[in-house]
Amino acid sequence: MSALFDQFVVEARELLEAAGASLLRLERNPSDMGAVNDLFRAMHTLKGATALFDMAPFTLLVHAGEDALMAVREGRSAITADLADRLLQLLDLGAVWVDRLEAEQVLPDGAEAMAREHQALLRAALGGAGDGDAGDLGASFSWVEDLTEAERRETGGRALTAVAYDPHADCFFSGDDPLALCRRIPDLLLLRIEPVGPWPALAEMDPYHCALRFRALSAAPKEDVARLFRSVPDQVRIATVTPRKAEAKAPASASAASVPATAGDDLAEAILREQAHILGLGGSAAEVAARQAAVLRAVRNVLTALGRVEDVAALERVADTPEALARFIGDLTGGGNRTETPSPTSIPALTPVPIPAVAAPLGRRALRVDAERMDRLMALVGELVVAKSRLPYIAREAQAGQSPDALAQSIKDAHGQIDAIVGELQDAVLRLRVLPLSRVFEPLPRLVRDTARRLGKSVELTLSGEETEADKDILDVLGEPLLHLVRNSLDHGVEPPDLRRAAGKPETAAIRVQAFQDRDGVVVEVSDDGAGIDAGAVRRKAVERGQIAADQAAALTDAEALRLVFLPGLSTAEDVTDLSGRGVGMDAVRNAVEQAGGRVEIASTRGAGTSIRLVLPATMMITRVMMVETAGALYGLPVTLVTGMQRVARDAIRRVKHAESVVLHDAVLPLLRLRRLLGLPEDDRPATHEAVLVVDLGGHRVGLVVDAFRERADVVLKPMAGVLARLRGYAGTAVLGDGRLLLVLNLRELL
Amino acid sequence: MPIRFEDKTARFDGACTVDEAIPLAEWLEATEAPQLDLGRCTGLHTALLQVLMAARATVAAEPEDAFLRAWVMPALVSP
Repeated sequence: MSALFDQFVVEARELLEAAGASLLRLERNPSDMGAVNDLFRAMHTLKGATALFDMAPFTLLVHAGEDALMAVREGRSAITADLADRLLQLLDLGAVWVDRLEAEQVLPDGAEAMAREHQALLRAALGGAGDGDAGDLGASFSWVEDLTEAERRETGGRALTAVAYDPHADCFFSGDDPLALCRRIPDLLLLRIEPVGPWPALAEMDPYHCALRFRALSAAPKEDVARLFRSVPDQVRIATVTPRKAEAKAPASASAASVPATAGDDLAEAILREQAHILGLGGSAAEVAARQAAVLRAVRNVLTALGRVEDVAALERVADTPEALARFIGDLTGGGNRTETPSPTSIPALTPVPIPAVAAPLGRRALRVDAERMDRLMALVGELVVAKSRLPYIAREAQAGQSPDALAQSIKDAHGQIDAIVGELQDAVLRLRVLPLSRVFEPLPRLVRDTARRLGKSVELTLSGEETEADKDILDVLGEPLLHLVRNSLDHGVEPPDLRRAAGKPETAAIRVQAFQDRDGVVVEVSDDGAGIDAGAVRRKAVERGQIAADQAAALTDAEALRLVFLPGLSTAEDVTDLSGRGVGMDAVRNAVEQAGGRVEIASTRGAGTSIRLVLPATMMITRVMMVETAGALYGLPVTLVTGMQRVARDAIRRVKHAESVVLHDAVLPLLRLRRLLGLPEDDRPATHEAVLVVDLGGHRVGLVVDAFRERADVVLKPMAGVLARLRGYAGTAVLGDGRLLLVLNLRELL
Repeated sequence: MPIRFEDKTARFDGACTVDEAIPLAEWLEATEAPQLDLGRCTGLHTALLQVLMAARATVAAEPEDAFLRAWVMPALVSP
């Protein structure tokens, strides 16, 4: 779309994030007026931005938030945890909408209903009169049924758009002129101007205090009318209605007692039909679920308003799936001869309708680049252009019969020059992609707040080192595991307040997340002062699950036993809780980190807490590999996995059947041979020693027998593509300086 | 001035804005049996309208403007 729209998407995201951060700040310290003001400003700016485009529901949504904040700012309401929850949900919905807008330029269907829903919830949280959606709608439009006969003739019984416009009392001060607005209603069929209350004596009247309300009917489609009122979404209600013709009598139905009641039913039916329509809309699973909840509430309100108690009960029975709900609504609205109380059997058997499970698209963020870094890149490209122009000159020299020695020298000079520039260029490009870790830290305060609140724990989160920088790809890898670790700490690490009190600890637990740059790359450490992990219990579990032999388990040091939590089997939820340890998805964390060429370390003290370290390379583009030779070919292993190299005498290797092991540094290491793993012929060369590479595979260490050690190298790792992608034993390929291809192994898959 | 106050008649001319609400209210209050000439009025701010409605002033000349005549007049003449 337009540049303006792109700008809006970027800005809206930033504003939503800023609002979220301010909100958390405010909740921690409700008297922080600075936070209220920041939050209010963010909302207000966002509202202004949405009003630039045709997205009334978004404006309405943000406006609802702004209203609530206004109440807080003016001291009419306190910022309660409930209110904060609602506001956070509102911001979440806003974020979802921005993503959607970016992808499809339009808001999801049913956005307006969602916005109203949030508005009502916010009002409820503020303690105001937050009537149900449908109830309000019914009250607002009951006047349509009270039209005079002349007015009815005017409208001719067509489907019309009804407008109930109740301007704010102080609307003149915001420059509104409601009457002028009504003048612009397209295809206006009817306009009623009514005083809100009895008129005061003229002397006591404040002319600047709007005391009128407007009721209008238009033949224009609802959207057209809604567009007109988009600057005052909170003061207007717009609906499609069909006023009954004067002579039309209500059809004789069992429930129809009087004309007005039937007329009300008609509106109810229109609302119900709309709900069925909303249910039928596609979208992500989350959207569908959100809509289902909204629809359920609306239908319940309608039925309650109509006094159909039995139907409400029936509704609760079908509330679980959107299909059943849709069918139920269909039964309610289907034809004029509906039964008063549909028995459960009248609801057809459920046939599972697949809900399109669209993965929520990840919000693409604009990469903000320092102007300086951009300039440096530009300068380097300039140098490259100059250096390039030397080559034709050398070609001419060659044609002119220049001596080979002189030519070689010229080429070497040119190469040296270009090489230096390319090196710098590569560095400059990498720097473009380098971002501060604050980006992955951002969701943590919210996560801790929400989870702690849910679990009834009191937790103080400390973040440090947000300014540490890492490659964008690394940040992407880091995000998910980090959330996992913090969630684990909250769930299993940190004890409930009473236990903490009993253990003589402060009730408020501390979770620290710190990042720093290390020789190996970026280190992110998540530590808590919780219960810690019982290494003995981990050992027992691992043995029970058959992942490790009992004697092996006994031989492990506590530190080594802790690493067992990274084994896949130990990560199901129930073990975790009775281990009072962690482990939910710990293998997933380890996998993600190792796939990025990093590693995970764990340390824990019973009763004092746990700390888990993620060590990641600073950039994923350059991987440092250890090269080994086997069967005449070169293979690479990520250096981060290698913990040692050793030449081991052949007679020191113990053999039990086919399983080999060796004792290194007082620990028994299972020994594996790379030739066997790769299905290559056995090494039949006579030798007294074997080259053994000690690799740490997260849960356990193994010795890998190779033919020979070679040097380390920094390579640009390219993942396997196409058919080769199915060869899971390889992490990728890299071209070495001499043009040879290096296969980099994915040991975990190989073993 | 779009509204001219002449003895017992207020003549509305063109688009009458919110600025005139206070003068209008004061005039209506001070004037006995005020009359309104809306003939050449093309726009009436909501604030003016509600002052007129509250004052229950007599409309001597109906507006030529279709919108005002169709929808605003009923509000001014109804009890």
